[in-house]
Amino acid sequence: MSQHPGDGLRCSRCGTRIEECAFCDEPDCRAAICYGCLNVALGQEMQQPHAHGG
Amino acid sequence: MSPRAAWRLESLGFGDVYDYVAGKLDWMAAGLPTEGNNAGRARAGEVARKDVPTCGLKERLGAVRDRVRELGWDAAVVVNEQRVVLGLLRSKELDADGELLIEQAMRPGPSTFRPFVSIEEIARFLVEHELESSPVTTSDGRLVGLLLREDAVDRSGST
Repeated sequence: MSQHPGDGLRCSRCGTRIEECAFCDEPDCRAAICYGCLNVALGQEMQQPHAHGG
Repeated sequence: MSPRAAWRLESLGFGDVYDYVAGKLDWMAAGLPTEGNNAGRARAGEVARKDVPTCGLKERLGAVRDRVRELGWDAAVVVNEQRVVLGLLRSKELDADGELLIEQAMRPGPSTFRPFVSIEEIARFLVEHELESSPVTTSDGRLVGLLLREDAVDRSGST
């Protein structure tokens, strides 16, 4: 997906380095977002508060 | 619903209660009905165009382009026999060399979105990213339809 280190593109929300934008798949997107932040923003998955579950 | 919710409903006297193991998001992603305060809100799945043209990997781009544009479209979704989305042809890809096979011309593995996603949210992203369309699929990747930015913006009231 888009979570691998790239050449400077970063998620506009969490700052994670990404290869391409998870929404538009463009490597030079000005509003780039990572897969995790996008899924939370669109409600496709819940933000995980704890790594160990609950 | 969760096992705890199922047990609670049984304790309240409901007799026909099931635990849907794959979870609520998967249920909604399949386009199945929901109830509650947000059930009436427009979702990507209902706004997406179900009549979007589709094609296969081994077709020639020129033939697909002719068919797609004859139907008044400027995009097509590449699917397999199970209607699983493999690629996308937007206007830029459709304008490439007509002799190319679809698998050479398509945008492979496009980002896809689930049918339950709020139309307001996805419209905002489509505008912000200047994207003309996005495929909507079920959790197992089957095509529901193509969501056009103009439709999403119209339904959401955003600009």
